[in-house]
Amino acid sequence: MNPLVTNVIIMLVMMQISRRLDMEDPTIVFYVRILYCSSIFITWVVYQLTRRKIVAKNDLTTIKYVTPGNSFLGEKEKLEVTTVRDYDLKDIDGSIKSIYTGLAMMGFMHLYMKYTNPLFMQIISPVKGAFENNQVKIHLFGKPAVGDLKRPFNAGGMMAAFSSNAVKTDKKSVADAERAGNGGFKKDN
Amino acid sequence: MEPESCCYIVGETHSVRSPALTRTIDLKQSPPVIMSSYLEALSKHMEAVNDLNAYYNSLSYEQLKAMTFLERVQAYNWTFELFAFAVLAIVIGSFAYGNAANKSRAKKFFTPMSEYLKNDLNFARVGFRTADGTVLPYMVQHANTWLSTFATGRSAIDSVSVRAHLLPRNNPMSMLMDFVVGLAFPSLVNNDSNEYCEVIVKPNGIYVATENSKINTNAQELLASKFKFITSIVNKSFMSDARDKNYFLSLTLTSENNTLSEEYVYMSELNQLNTFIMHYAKGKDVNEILQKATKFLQFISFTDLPVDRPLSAAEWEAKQEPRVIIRSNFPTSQFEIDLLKEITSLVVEVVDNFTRDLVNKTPDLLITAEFQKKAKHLRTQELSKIVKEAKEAEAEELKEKRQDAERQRIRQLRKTGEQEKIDRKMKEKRERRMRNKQKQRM
Repeated sequence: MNPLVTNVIIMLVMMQISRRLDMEDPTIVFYVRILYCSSIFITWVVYQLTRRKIVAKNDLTTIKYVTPGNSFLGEKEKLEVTTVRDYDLKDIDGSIKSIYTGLAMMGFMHLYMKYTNPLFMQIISPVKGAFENNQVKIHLFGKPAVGDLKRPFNAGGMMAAFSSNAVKTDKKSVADAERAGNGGFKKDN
Repeated sequence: MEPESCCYIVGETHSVRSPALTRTIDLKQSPPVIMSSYLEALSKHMEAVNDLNAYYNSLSYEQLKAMTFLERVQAYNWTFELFAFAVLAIVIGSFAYGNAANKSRAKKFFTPMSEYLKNDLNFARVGFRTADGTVLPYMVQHANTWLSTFATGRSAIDSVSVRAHLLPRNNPMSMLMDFVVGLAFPSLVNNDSNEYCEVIVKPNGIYVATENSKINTNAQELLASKFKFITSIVNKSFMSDARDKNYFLSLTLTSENNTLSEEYVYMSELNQLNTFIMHYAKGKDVNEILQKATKFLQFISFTDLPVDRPLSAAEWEAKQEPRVIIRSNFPTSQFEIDLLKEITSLVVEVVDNFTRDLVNKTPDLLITAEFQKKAKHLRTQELSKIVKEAKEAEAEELKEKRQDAERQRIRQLRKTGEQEKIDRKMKEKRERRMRNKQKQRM
């Protein structure tokens, strides 16, 4: 099933369960905290294991693709030349960083704003997200990097489906971008 | 989503609201209250600081006057002042430590590098001579963060300049800010904020076999015609970064080759130039050196085009200069210093051999007439692209200026009341036209 659909279903189910829970009960809050921390820990371990595998494989195959520039800043298309290893590491590091960001946000909401509900809602989605992550699928579950798992990955989500700003990998786009001379623009620092 | 559901639960399922929950709902519903809660927390801390001396402040003037100096000193709570002194001491300490650390790094690298340029690569002059006659092996600028040395006076090479940038260790707060901003907005961080080292070797087109040999007279001609090409060996970890920061690299084709170590790629304007460095590094095992430098070297590039993209034809002409750029991390260990010496020596060897072949007119020259034609074509195309963009930018600027002038004129007319007359005339004209049109229809 589509991860977006399952996310919505999980969210609705969790909302229904959370209605039946007394979030002021210290025992329930304690168990919610334990569940949330365990979920974050499992997610972190999964990503770290994947990261280790990427480093161990050290796949230095070169990949080239063209990324769309930021239209708000008037940027042109940009050629990205990287290795499979660096691409995967950038991707997995982004996922690990998102754990820390989520943790900081939840910490603020729970510890400072005193909400317990968001903590409860976030018990399943980080682990689910980790197991649906392309890098985890390739490196931990050994799935071949073809089809949807072919690098560079296309951005998922509903917005991506309507967006024309997709990553280009065709020979012509890459060849055009390679000799475009779009480097060395001075930045005003 | 979550805060809403939280409020809903509170409102629906609990008949008795706790003070904590009521506060939470209020905070969520009105953002200014959240802001005031931060200010409240801040004012609490400030109050706590003021309360440190509550006893001292409660003493009347007469009581204080009755006390001896020592008694007054003892009655006063010095905690805040001690804290402020501690912060100052940390700032001064970190400044001194940072300066000393950068000085030590600079000395550790530049002293042996200068000696190597003088003694091993046979440059006649190395370093900088000051007004009082002393020779400095290297220069430091901007609180020991920018370092450079210079060498000149050698066959085939006009000069070698070694530039390095170190982190501002004397200002840990700026380093921390750079790090934090870099985490959230990587594009905002300065290109040169990291530590790096750059060795720039400029050829001069002159080759002399011995000290008494005659100097070739066609040096300028050779430089202008035979050194106009781009070929590089780039570490795979820096491919996108190097292309992004260096204009000349963004004009090249990226290709892998079996002749090159797996960790590197060629970036040349034509694939036939890929073998250039290997070809002229006679007697040196390039791959062996590259293999040792996988975690250190970023790229070696032969180029005549600038690092920054030129914005006009004049800038394009002014910035063209044949040179070789070795860019690496800043060498911190003896191994890395030796490695950089080896890479510099390799580049000097390549320039030496290439210049010798050019001067001696060796038949197996890689830079052929056909290649020169292609290189010229690429440069002509790029120049026309830059000229076109410059013209567009100029036209845009002119348009903006005209619009500004027009706005200024209208503002002036409004001030004098002329605009109202013009508007009235225009309105009458429109109405007359409308009436004429209606008459025609009738």
